[in-house]
Amino acid sequence: MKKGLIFTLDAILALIVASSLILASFNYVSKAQMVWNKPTLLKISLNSLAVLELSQTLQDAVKASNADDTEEFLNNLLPNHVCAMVEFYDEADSLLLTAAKSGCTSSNYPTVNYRSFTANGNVYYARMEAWYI
Amino acid sequence: MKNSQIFSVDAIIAMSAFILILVSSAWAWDSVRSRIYLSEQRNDMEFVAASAISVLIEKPGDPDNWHKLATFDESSISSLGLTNGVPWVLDTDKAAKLEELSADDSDYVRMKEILGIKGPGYEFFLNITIYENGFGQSYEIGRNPVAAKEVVVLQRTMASERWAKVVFKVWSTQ
Repeated sequence: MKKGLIFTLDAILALIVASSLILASFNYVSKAQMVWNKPTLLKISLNSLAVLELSQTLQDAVKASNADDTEEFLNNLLPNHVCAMVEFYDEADSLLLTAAKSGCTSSNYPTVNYRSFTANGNVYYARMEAWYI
Repeated sequence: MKNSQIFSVDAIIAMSAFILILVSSAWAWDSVRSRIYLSEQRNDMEFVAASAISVLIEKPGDPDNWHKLATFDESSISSLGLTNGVPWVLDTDKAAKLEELSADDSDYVRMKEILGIKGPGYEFFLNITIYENGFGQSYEIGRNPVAAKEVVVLQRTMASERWAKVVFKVWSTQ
């Protein structure tokens, strides 16, 4: 019988199990962090959509088929660390226009908010995705 | 074999290890306690800031013509709001009035009371900047952070001539 036991199969298996559990915990905690941050992003996007509608920016975009003003809003009025994209849909769920903050790459963990509005007697809705840089 | 074992090398090593663990525990306890305090203070400041900015950008205040009253105190004004009655639509007269009032120290203290900013050493700074074709007119209300130990910054928007950027900071020196 050999004396050194530290590199037995048991020890290696235990090490693998322990490492897997630690990695899984870190993964879970990092995802939980994403969830904790979401209420702030939701408040920012809810506020942004409301202001875009109240300032007639959403309605004007649909009427002119041009979302440049919405893009100007996203570029200048959002906090620097927040990225966002606004899509305009009609009642038939057809995508009409898209406006995105410049310099942003898409994220796997965006928050999504909707706001309906009327223009030219028709109902439209704006879908806003927001995420941290 | 010697009779006395109390000052053996083993005992000295054990004692050193014990003292080391004791000192480390005391340091860790103190460190955790101060971290918990900072975290609790930060949570409280975030809550205070979120509540205050919500009322400011979504409500007209109570009474809604508070900016036209002759007196500015808690008995005549129960809440401060910046809207014209429609949530998120800025009344610039109210922003100008808050800016004018906050230049006076006693009015600034009353403003903090009405907004519910009451924590230890808590101060606030509110910056509203109108955006038309680029940033223009700006209103600065409260006290800019100086020697702050903790700062919470919230940024929102309001509808104005076009849009307005609202940055609200709650900060503490303690």
